[in-house]
Amino acid sequence: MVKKIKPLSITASSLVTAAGCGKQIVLDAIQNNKTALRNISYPGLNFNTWLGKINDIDNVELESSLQSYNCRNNKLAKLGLDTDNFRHEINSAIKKYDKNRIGVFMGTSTSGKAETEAAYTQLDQNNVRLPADFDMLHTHNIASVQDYVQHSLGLDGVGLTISTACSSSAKVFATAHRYIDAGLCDAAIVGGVDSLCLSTIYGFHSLQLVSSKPCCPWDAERNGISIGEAAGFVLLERSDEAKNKIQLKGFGESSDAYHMSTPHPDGEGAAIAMKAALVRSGLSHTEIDYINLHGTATPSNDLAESQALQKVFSTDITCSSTKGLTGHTLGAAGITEAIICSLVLENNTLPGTVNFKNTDLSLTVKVLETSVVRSVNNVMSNSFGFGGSNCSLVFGW
Amino acid sequence: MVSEKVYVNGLSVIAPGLVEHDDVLAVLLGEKKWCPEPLPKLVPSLLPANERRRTTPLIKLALKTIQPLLKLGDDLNLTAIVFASSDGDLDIDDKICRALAKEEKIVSPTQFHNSVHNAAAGYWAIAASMRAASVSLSAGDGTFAAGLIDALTQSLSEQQNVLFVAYDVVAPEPLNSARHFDYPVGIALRLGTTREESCLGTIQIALNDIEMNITHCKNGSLEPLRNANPIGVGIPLLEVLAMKLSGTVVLPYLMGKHLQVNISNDE
Repeated sequence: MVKKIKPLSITASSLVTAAGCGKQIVLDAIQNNKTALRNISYPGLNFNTWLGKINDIDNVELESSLQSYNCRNNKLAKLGLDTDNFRHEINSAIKKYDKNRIGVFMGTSTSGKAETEAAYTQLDQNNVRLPADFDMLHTHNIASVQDYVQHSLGLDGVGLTISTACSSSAKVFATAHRYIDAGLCDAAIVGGVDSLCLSTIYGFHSLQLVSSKPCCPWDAERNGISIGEAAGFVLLERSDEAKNKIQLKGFGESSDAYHMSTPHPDGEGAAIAMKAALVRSGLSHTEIDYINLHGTATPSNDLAESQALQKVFSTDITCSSTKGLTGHTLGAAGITEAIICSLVLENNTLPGTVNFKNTDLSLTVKVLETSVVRSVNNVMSNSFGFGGSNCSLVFGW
Repeated sequence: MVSEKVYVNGLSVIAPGLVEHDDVLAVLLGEKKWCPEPLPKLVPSLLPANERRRTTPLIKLALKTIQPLLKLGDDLNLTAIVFASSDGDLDIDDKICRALAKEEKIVSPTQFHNSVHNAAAGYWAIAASMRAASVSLSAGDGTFAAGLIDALTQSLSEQQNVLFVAYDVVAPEPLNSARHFDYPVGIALRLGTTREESCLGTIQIALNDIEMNITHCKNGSLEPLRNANPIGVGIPLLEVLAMKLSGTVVLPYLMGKHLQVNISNDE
């Protein structure tokens, strides 16, 4: 039975996106309505697209004792841990709680699959043997990112990796709440790390879902996503341990039960997730001041989300998509946008919908076109993924 | 710290030599030796034929394992489900990586949407018309224990029934040499906070820092299956449940730690 939950406090966070390392850079980009998408190449890419690529990954070196985890995704994870003072904050949390009482719940869609893609280009002449130094468990495996993060931070409590496509790192908040509720940990690091790889770029391309221009969510001429990469981490603690902090107030999860790669056209599953998040937060729909949309910029996703919003909020709701800034960071989209929501609450700045130009009359819910300064108390973040996996989160003061 | 208890109201397993209900029970009760006969083609009948055609052996294993635990009268908007697989769809990974290694890089759209770790969850929701939440997770070699913990927390926090299915298959070459598993294994449990007629006992979990020995199979012939992949480690738990005994089973978990599962049949 869905009922009001005890909130958790966000006591530390870090974010790395194509805009750069750190939350301040993202806030600057939001305030100035800037995109971080670029029309650039990527090794192996043979068609024209715009990417949210993080150049700093190339300069990252994993710890000498953790070299077996070496891959683009875990290097991005390390970059995230070393940003916004996050590692230092975790060291303080370890002193407070002990290393076995802090859970690690990560989301990713492709983990280190780029390593396997590269290994296949080096198959021997008989097509039977991968390079001897290919370490599948520590790179390709979905859980390698959480395994790496636990080792890198010196934590040995509970953990897991959720991989539900583009809702992965939103669902980790729900999981962390349940684990803390059950007493399996006292605090939790939730995060998402997803890095560029050819599987996703060519996979979405095969479904004709990759735009040849910078993605333009909610626009009448939107024609697909721009793929980005990101790493984000949040430390969650019980709210009685950390007062006057931004809180995770609610979460809602649902399944579409409709189609593997297309959302339910009426947004029924998405609406269930949003309603459940509201019930758990104890807030009415009129108390939500802003929604960070899933807003991927595919024709069907944005239409379904607009339908779902209308069911839950009517059309009078303030919302925007930040994917025109960061790109669609897939398994890291949930954490990226959760942290953007915390920036919204801290700075009373609502993001605009970068790259939006032309109103689509079929979308009954309208978006903010440019950023505005406005006082906000409660916000929602939506994340919906392939396989009809939906998750909505409510954050607030 | 020991968790609150949940009821195990059903179990299911599919592996080579463990397909038919009577065989499964006889082997788990120790009345019969385990013989690893190749898995037949699995047909999860719950899924419409047009959808079934698009699925892979991994997805079929997951759905076929969970299907017997669905009961008439289950409210599928209130029954959460946990999908746990260490390595996911290695067949699809092989096909996509082969395609990407070629000059033209043509990826099949169906293979791509089947490549997501939650593909089985997506097909399950379609098959069962289930709008409730599902989780698809991995914890590498600790996947079975991580999935069991997650299912237990979901049942306790929402006071609801939770279906838990864990599954891994054998990779084709060249991946099999990089991550070798001997057999495919699918295990499913039906958990809840209320006792049903089919109840096999209650379980409570505890995480322990002390050095513990991982539980071996009572039926020694099952040992190769326990060691076959990160899911096989759950077989000793199924044995205790099938025998309706009380006892403790120790499972491998993360960071060198173990999960202790206390099974009780004292009620």
